Amino acid sequence: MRNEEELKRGLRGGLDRITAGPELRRRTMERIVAGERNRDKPVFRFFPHIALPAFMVLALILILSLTADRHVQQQPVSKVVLPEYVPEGYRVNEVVTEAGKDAETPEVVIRYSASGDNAGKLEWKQSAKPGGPAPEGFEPVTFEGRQAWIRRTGDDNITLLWEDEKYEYRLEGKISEGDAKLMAGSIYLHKKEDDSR
Amino acid sequence: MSEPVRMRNPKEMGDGLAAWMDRYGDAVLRTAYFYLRDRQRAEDVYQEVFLRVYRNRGSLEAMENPKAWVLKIAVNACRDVMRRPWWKKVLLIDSRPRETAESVEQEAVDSETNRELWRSVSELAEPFRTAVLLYYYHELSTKEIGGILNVSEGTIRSRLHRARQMLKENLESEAARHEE
Repeated sequence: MRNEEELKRGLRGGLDRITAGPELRRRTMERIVAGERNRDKPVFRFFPHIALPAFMVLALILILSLTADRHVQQQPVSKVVLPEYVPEGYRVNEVVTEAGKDAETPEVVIRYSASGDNAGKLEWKQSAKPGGPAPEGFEPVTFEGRQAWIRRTGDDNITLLWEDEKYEYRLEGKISEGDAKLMAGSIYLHKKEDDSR
Repeated sequence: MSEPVRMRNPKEMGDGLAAWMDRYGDAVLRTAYFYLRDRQRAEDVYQEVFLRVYRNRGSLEAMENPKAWVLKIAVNACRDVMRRPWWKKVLLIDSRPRETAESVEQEAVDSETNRELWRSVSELAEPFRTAVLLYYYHELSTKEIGGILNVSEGTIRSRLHRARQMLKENLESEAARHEE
């Protein structure tokens, strides 16, 4: 290879002719509109609002019953909120509740994994002192106008902390900052919808 | 870094989504084509990507780097396609599905130099091809590429270095063959 500019020209020569024409755009729009219409049908409205939460509650009860003999004290929480947004390639592995040392502050932990060695967890617990100071080693960030704190470590791990009126949240793992904020934002939106009911 | 296009609700879908397609549609389609070398499959990926863009419309404003985000969706959608059983069957039957690197060069690449380079890049193994595409064609930073592929920046730099070495070796051996 002579130089990097030639490499760029070679790629442009091969790819620049590929364009998304109006026909493809039209078909894409139609597919999305059709998908939205389906979501508006009663059966689709029923699923996310009733069937899905019911399924999640049953799953939680099942998990709790299977892990009843753990050393840590277990107690159910009233609601499990899964993030609506999970980055591509990641998937949720398990949802558990753990009381930890203090039985009055139950934690919900969602463990997720991704291809390769990317994995992490998202957890939240009832907050005893909402609005506390920034933790040491973290720097402030915001998402959707909400205050949060972030810590980045050398091996691409990040930890994002935030809280609302009731809970403290902690998202930790090998994930980009943008994806972490999107996950965090999708939980907040979900909770906001729940709170407004 | 370009500003994300706002798309607040379904009523604004037409304009909002069209603006995203205007801005990133070609990049998505080219990425998918580069991966899959099949126009039809690339168009399927294009539709899938913008469907996901639409479904994430509530979070788009928080997007720090919309281009990298869209390309990440595209790359993952391509990987999903390549993991499907039928795709593996296609690869077993014919090591290159339908539109091959050669056909592309015949149709579109003008100069001999560009043609050689295009062929060499197309023949690079994964994950070197993707790193080259995102760095040299989409002109993303190593940090952005690391975010897309979920690997460290150092890994991307290493892949690019190795890719350049492989390209150099391929082109030199090609040139030597021509001289013989």
